[in-house]
Amino acid sequence: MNITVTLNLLGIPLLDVKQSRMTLTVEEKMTMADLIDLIDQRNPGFKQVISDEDGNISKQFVFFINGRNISYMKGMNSELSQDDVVNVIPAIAGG
Amino acid sequence: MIVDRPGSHFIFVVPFDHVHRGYNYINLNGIPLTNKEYLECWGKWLVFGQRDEMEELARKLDLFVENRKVPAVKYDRKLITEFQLNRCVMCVYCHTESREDVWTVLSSLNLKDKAWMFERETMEKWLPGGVNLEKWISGRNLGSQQAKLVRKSAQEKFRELFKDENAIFTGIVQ
Repeated sequence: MNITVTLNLLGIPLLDVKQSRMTLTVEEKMTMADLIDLIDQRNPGFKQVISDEDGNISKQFVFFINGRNISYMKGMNSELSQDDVVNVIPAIAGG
Repeated sequence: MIVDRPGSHFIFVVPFDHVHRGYNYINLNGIPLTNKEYLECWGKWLVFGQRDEMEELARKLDLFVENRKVPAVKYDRKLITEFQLNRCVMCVYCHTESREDVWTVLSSLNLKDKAWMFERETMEKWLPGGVNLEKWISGRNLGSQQAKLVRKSAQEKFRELFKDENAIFTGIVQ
């Protein structure tokens, strides 16, 4: 079964993506890591930009599902549900 | 009331009583937070927008701040170009226990993008090795000795500010 999720890139100028807000139809229980792979397929280079030198997701970005920082959930293994909203912000924001 | 001091990067929306009558908006049900509680429970909704959008939102939120539905707000006077942000950021502060109530206020003003951050997370970003401090250091091309001093100073400032976890949190000058 497929679900619909929304991704917003907030305040981030460096990510070379076609849109800063996108609605995506994805497989149910897709994880954040899977979502990033999917976006990377559609926007080649996306993953590289948000990754650090070791290939891990950079601490320069913070990911939220429905307003909640995924580091308080299962990190990149956090699963997505119908109508979830994923917001990505620069870690520098709010300081 | 909106507090706009030209010397500060930030513009604040705080209760009139905070400015003129010593009211401490960092509280839960009227009880001021200790340093420990502040780090564990105080945080903010982050809002992104252009400066004019921030100004309009601040004017609307001022009413909620005076009615104590929203404890306090601050936002960027201008874009922080050295941080490579393409939007101004507004912080809408509250205790984690009231954050959904505050979000209800924000959503009534047509905000949709939710991003909650604890103050502790922000503090950590300004400690040695933290994203903000290291970016600040590299943005100023500091030599290694100067950078070391800045890191040491940041660590000491944090330690001094929170050394007594049971003391009432008294705020940070910005």
